[in-house]
Amino acid sequence: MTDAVAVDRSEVVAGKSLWRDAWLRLRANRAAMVSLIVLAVMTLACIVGPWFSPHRYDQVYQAYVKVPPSLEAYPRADAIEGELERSLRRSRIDLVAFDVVDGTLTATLISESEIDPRITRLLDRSNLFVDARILSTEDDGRQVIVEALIDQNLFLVGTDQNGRDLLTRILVGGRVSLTIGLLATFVALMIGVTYGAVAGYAGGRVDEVMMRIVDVLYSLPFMFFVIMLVVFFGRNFVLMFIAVGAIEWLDMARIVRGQTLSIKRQEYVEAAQAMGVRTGAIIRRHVIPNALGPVVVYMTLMVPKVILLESFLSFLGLGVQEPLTSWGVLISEGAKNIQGASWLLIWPSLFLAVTLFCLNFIGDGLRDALDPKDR
Amino acid sequence: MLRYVLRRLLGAIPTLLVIVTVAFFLMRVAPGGPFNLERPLPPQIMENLQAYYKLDQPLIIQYLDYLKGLLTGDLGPSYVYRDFTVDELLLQGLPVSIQLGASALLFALLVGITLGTFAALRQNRAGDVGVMTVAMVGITIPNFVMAPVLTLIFAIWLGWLPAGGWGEGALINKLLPVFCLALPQIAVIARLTRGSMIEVLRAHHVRTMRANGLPALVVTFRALRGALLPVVSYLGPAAAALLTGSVVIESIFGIPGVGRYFVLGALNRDYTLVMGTVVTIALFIVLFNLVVDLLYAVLDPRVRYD
Amino acid sequence: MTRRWARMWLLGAALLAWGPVQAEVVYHRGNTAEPETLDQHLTSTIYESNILRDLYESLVVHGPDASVQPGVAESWTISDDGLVYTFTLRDDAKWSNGDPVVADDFVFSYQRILDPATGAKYADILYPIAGAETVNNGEADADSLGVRAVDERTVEITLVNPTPYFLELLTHQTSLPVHPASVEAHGSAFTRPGNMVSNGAYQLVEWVPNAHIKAEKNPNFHGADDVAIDTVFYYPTEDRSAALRRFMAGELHSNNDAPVEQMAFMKEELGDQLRIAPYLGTYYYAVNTTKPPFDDVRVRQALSMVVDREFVAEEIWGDSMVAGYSFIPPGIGNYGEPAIADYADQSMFDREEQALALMEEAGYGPDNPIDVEIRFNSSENHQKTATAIADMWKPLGVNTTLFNTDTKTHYAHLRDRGDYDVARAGWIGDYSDPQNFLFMVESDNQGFNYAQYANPEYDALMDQAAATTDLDERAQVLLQAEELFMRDLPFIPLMYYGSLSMVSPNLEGWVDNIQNVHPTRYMALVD
Repeated sequence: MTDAVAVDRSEVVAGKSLWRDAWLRLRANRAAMVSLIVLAVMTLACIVGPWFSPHRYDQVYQAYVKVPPSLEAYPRADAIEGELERSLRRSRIDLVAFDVVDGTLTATLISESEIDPRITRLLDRSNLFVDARILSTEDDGRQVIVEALIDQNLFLVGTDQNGRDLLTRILVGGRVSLTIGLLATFVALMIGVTYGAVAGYAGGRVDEVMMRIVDVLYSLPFMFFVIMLVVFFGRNFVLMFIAVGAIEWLDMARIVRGQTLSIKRQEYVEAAQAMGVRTGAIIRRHVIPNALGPVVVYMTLMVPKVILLESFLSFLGLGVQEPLTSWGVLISEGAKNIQGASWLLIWPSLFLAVTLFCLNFIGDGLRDALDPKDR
Repeated sequence: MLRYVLRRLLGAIPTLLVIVTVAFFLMRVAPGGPFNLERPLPPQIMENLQAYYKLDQPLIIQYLDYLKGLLTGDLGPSYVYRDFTVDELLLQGLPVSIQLGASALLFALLVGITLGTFAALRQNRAGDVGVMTVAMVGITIPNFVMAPVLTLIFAIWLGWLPAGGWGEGALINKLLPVFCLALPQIAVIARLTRGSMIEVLRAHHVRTMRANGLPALVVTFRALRGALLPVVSYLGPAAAALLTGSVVIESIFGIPGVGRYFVLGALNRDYTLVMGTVVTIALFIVLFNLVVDLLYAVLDPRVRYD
Repeated sequence: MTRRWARMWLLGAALLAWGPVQAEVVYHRGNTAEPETLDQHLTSTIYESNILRDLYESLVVHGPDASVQPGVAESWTISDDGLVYTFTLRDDAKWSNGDPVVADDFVFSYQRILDPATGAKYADILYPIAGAETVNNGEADADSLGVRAVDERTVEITLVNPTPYFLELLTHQTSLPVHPASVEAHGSAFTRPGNMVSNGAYQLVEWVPNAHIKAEKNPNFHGADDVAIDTVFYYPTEDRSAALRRFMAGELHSNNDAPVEQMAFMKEELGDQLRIAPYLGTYYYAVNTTKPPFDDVRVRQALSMVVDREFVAEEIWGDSMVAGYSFIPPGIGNYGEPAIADYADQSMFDREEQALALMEEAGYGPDNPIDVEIRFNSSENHQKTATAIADMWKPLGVNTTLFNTDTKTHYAHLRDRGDYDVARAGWIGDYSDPQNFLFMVESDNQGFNYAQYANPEYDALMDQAAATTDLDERAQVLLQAEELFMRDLPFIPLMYYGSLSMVSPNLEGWVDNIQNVHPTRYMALVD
């Protein structure tokens, strides 16, 4: 009987535990839950999407450099002649006539000298045609009629400057950006919150020294740090986290420390101290949960910062390397093409924006769910 | 209070020394030097240049020389902008950057806090959602996208504002840069304000004030005081960064600030210029963080320094 | 109306600063980057030369079409052995403060740039002058330099070897004279507005770093009557897209660069305001000839053959570059047709088959693939180029990875002979002569020979060319050297540079030329 009571009581305590309770309240938040689902779907799309895409992310379509987004498959009817001439020009072959019926091309070609039958491979090489074959040869081989199937390719959001499918690249880039955006932010968050809470709670000398260390790190030339990482360790995904983590936790630490300075003078903290609760437990159970509001808000701000910072790391040689890509890299490349090829900027930005909106709602939901004053 | 400030200022000296020392040596380990050009210099010419700038001396001597110069406020000659000293470059650029940064900061504070408070008072209603959506856009769209888009609209299509140039600091040349600098800050400040305002509005003392029938405006202002804590924490480093310029905005609008030196100095391995920027940012950081810590005590009487 | 408004505003600002000058012609000139210095003896970049060319005048100058024209020297004679150049100065050449330009000014200037204490980056370009190298090494006194003032109006320059491109060399900014009195009075601050005394068509009025440089017509210039533009503003337009917007908004009359990413857009929007001219430069990939498998010339040839240069030049560089099959760009002076690779005219198809055969001969191919890392300095277009080339190498059984670093790291790595496979580089000639390209892979060229190419035959040809005075004969010898180069391919030439400029229809006198030099004195603004 007494045992049973003890078990019951522990269950009651567990039931009211901070995190379990928060989860229940988060589940009740519609916006947060929808965002969570959208984010999960997008993450899944980034992970598996590239495998299902008809285009490899590094597949170059020389015939389709910077083509705009379209729901209709390429090639366009009027592009066929140009591409046909382009493929043939270098072999000194002229196009006499051509016709397209039901996705099949029939073309008559002439040349000053005998036409090499390998000409079909030349057509196959072009991204527009497949299964080219010679129907007939006339005039001692100087005139041939060839037939080829037209290869239909769909580029929903267009192609980039190398003629690669942008959608596939965005999905692949999402793997990198979501990983670094969420993971690096999480790492920075853990370090920053712990560091800031300890500094603020300890106060005095300890606070002084800890915050001066933050000042030092903040003032150091970050670029040299990155360049050195590249030079001494080469390119490495883990290094990217170190580089990002090394600077991003600084702001977080300052914010949490600021909150802690105020929280530690609150009655409930003083009460806990009077009751002899250990410092670690006070920081964990009282200080951090009460400082979470601004932390969550700041976290949602940090994700885009980190994702864009990654493109700067790539510039210095530390980030992802072609043919792999990331949203940050795609966006900064797109920004250079605002006039002329705006889809290169708009689509990757859209993916980033949706992610941020989701994170924002999740963040707000988390904040509400964790707010101790709200229970 | 005064003793606290004095102690902090004295404490800044070792901090600065650590920063200068670490930066000085960190920089020198990176490959390449100021005179590694795309057109490689013959060894003799390289030696002449090294000798000219005393770069041929042992690193530790160079370091001590640098510290000696620093004490007298001499940051040395720029290795890349060879007609100027680092002091001259910073003194010419800083007023411009501070002017732009301070305008942007003020603008961002004013608009950001107003919007954030407004959103908090209408939590989860249309006004809140609207403001926060705009704020998210401000955060999502990076400067290097926003600046060209705004120039296209206002300079090329509408023709109201110049597309670039400093024009001796005329107001019309500052509008777009200030706005572009302020926009992400507005978004951050609005979100931080909203978040903590919502918390403070629920706090007992605010509820009590309301229950006692104080006018809504007064309650809001009193609540705001407590809610500004995270904004102030954020502003310490953010203000230091804003006032020392932005390379993106400067190169897009052709503004003669110091922001570019942070990036160009490092890319060019212009050692003295990099050190100059490090010293500048360090001074700003130390100063602003002191101001922030003092503001904590003003905003929240519970925070004390003794 | 609104664009005009912006221009009016700029004009207004200029007028206010200038007081009641009537109908002043102001030229707003975009100039790529902030000059590192306005000291002609310290400069190393093209943006500096654009400004210095307007401020100073050398013994000989570039005409509007970049041809060599008399400058301060009205005439000159060359000794039969090609070693002694005697220049006669014009008697109306004056400094902006009214002092006459005399032979001693040039002697002072050449001694200054070669003095090791000056720390001149480009001093070595003058090493063809007798004694220049020893003076610059600090082994001899400045007096031993082969530049002499015979009398007030005669300068005599003695060379080490007959150097057929010597006059061309004198048009480089390093040969611009300084005003000795102001250098002595102000030291390194002589380049500041107020201190600077110059002898060119313009004089420096204002210099706000990273904002603008303002120069005003020099009334003491001997050709001042023919100078149509009164004031020039040079803007450091580091962001090329921003420069395009400023140009479109009418704030710039010209800009000597344009955003390559937006070629299609610019061609459509700007029409013939967008100028693309052949340029004296080559974009190439250096190959590490000491490292297997790249030490095998067959591998290098195969890698070169399958690069569809037309695709890269047209699609990635938007025709701002031209497919290049020789190391020396066509149109260079003192040369004929460069040594074009024989596969230039073959179809990509034949080239691929040949390349595959070469690879197989060397023991590689799709069954025995090789790994190549392309190193390049960070830039979107270098990256796109490398991506495209990696794709073209794939059928040969080449697995390519890309590695980018910032520019300093990139070139420091190459110069220090760091380990690499293939590395991007480019070279814009300092002067229009094939020697200025071919010298790069001489086996004793410590700076440039990234490929570590060492071929005694090649070195012998280069020495022979240096000693040959007859221009045609010399061109033949150099052509043989280039043929060796194309056979051995220490560098794989990919494209010839083009120069991109945006020029307003109101600006007259901007003549496209291979050196991409456009002195303001030949230009005029019309409405």
